[in-house]
Amino acid sequence: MKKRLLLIVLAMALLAGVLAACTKSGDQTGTTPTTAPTQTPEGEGTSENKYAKELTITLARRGDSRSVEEDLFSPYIKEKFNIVFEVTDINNNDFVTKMNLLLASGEAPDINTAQRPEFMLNEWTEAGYFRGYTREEIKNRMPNYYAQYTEEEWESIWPAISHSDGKSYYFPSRRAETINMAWLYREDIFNKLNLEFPESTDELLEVMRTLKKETGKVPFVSANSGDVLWAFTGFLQAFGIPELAPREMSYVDPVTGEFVPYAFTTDTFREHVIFMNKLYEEGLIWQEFATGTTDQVNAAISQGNHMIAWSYPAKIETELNKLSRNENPEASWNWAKVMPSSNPERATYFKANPYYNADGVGFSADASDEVIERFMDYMDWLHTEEGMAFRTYGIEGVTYKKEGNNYVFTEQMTSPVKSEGKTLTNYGFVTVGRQHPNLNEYYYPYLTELEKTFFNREGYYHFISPAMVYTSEESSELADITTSLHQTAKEYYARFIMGHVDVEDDKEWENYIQTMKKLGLDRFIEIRTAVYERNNK
Amino acid sequence: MVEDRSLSSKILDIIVHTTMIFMLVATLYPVLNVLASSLSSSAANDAGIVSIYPIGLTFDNYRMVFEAGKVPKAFTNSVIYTVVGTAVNLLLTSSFAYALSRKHLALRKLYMTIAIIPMYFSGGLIPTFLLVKNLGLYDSMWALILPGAISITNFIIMRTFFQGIPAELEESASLDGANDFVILFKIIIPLSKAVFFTIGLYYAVGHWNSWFSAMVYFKDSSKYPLQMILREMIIAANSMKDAATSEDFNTAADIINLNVKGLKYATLFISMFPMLMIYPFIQKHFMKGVMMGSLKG
Repeated sequence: MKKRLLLIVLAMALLAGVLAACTKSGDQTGTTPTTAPTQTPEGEGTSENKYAKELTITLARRGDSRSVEEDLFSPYIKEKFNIVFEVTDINNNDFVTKMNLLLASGEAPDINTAQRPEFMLNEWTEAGYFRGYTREEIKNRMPNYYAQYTEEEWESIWPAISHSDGKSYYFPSRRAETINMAWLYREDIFNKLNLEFPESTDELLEVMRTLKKETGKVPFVSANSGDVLWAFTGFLQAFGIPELAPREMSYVDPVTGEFVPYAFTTDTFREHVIFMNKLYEEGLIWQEFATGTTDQVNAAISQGNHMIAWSYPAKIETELNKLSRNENPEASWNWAKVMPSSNPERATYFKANPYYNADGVGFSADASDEVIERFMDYMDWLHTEEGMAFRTYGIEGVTYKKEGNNYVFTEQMTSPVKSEGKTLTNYGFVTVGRQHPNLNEYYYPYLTELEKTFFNREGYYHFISPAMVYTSEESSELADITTSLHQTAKEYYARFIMGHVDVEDDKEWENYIQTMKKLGLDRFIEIRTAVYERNNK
Repeated sequence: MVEDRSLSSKILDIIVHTTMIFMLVATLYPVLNVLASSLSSSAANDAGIVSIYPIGLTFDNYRMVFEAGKVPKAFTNSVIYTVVGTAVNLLLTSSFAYALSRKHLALRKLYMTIAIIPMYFSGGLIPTFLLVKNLGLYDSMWALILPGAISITNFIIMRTFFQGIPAELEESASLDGANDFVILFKIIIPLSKAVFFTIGLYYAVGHWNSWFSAMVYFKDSSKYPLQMILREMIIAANSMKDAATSEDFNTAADIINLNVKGLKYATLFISMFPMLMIYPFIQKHFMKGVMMGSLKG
């Protein structure tokens, strides 16, 4: 009995010790600030002594670990700004997990270079992990950064990047290209069969039938086993639903200006699914679209399938020609100068990019004012001519040379026209900031051609994402509903296309709508509509 | 011994051999496929036509893997973490297990109870991270080794094994003047080779295959073990879309440089190879160690 009592006492003492340790640790983490510290006034120090003190700035970067062979970046930045960067590379799949750990434990890096709305930006902002700035503060503090967008562009960007408190916690740089997707096709086969790229979905169906009949191969190979709603986004667009609808779910019709709060229960969506079902039944699309892996898709393309694609012209050289030439060395892909539409008389849709990159910079609330000030100086410089050239091309004479007005990568470097060679990251570069416009003008002339082809073309329209700034209550209520709706929509999408459920049967379609309603479709529509009206009217 | 030639025995033999052959093929095929893919040309890999022999034989993937900056360094890191980690594991686990296997140890039940609690309740990711950070282990090799220095399952197997060693051996040794350390090193450890090899193998495989702790506790990617690099490469297989959609040429170039399928398989094979080589030498101890440790609870 005595022994048992002794055991109990010892166990309780141990427990008390553990609890005491936890309390101490809790106290330490409780110091995370909930409001952004105030900024130091501008103009502090003269330009000569402004950077007298060396500052170490910790920085999180999304992507795989990079091997640095010769560090040219650090000495340059050290000399110019007296900054030493400590970079943590976080794999894309682990980014949110690791950032959550770092933020919760007070180990947050001073700068997050991969601040993205879909990476819990709202939650992190609400928790006070990042510093927010008003548009005016940004204009004063980083004039070169601010000047990368016109005032008119800021009018559309600011509502999209700012939080409900009127400040932004996410600072993306200007996106290099305004349009980078198109319909691609096997030019060699189209020429041989004397086919024109279709401008309507009816013509598309006929062309695909011909391709199938003449080659015996599957004309369109695509799969997305993770989320089948992403498998046929080009076909969604052909029916007037944005290519990014699986992510954004709501959109504004560019012809009528009507807000569509949920894309996957409309009559337009039903027409799209009927069309896809027809393609599936006739074997015009790959039968494994709901389960295929990237390796299987590549194998199918390497066997001569896939003659039409909705994709990036950048992939023609890096992927499509390479794969198709495994079967036919003469294979040659090109991008189409037209796009198919289900109703070309009404509108043809193309995809234009937003003005800004998806990744932006986030300034940690835990970082010192001095660190933030210094980084802002650096970031502002990255948006000058000199800074953009440095960040895009590296060091003159080593990684690039000037040819007239053009910047050209040197021989040992990889470039858009040469996939072998070193990258700037091999020289230790940390590439935040804006890509120099000359790179696309010089190396990717097709991007300019894409712009010229589709922008300002009669009958061609592109979608513009509406600003949707949610309150935390709205976000949290939508989060649960969205997951259930999305899960059900993608299941039905696959079943409709494969013909397991007859999409043309009104009763079946009504069943689908009723299922979605039970999962909260009406409430989803109500919240999204209210948010849209609040932010856009 | 009389050989059983009855029909039922022959049927049983056929069933046993068929099952074993099936299991052998199921186990061996993926290994051969990885090896063949790592030695095949990129076109053959893209076309998905590689099975168990290389098509378009090339050693370029291995050359590139060893020339590339990250893999040799990560391989060395993995070897260090595995060797040091396993040594620490064995030292601490065996010390703890030996002590608790001795019946005369005071408060033995209390220690056992305390040891068993973490088997049912874990601290959770963030508290564990905070603990590691506050102990000053963040971004250090010890963050991968010390938090898991004693696996309770392995400790129980070892303790049970030690309990099976007759107490008379110790008694006679102490009569001959041996102290506790002499008994441990001269009698107990030589008699426990099987369990040391077995538990050592468990720990070594655990360290070799571990990536999550490295992801959580390392800030500096030059400290990553091989599995972490391998994981990045496997994830990069799905990154062609990222490369094409990347808003920035330099980011796209980095992704494309990583995304060579043959390289992925070569790295995969390199990561499998050391463990494949270790197993045959430890196998004879392995069966004995597990069986002896697991019979008594």
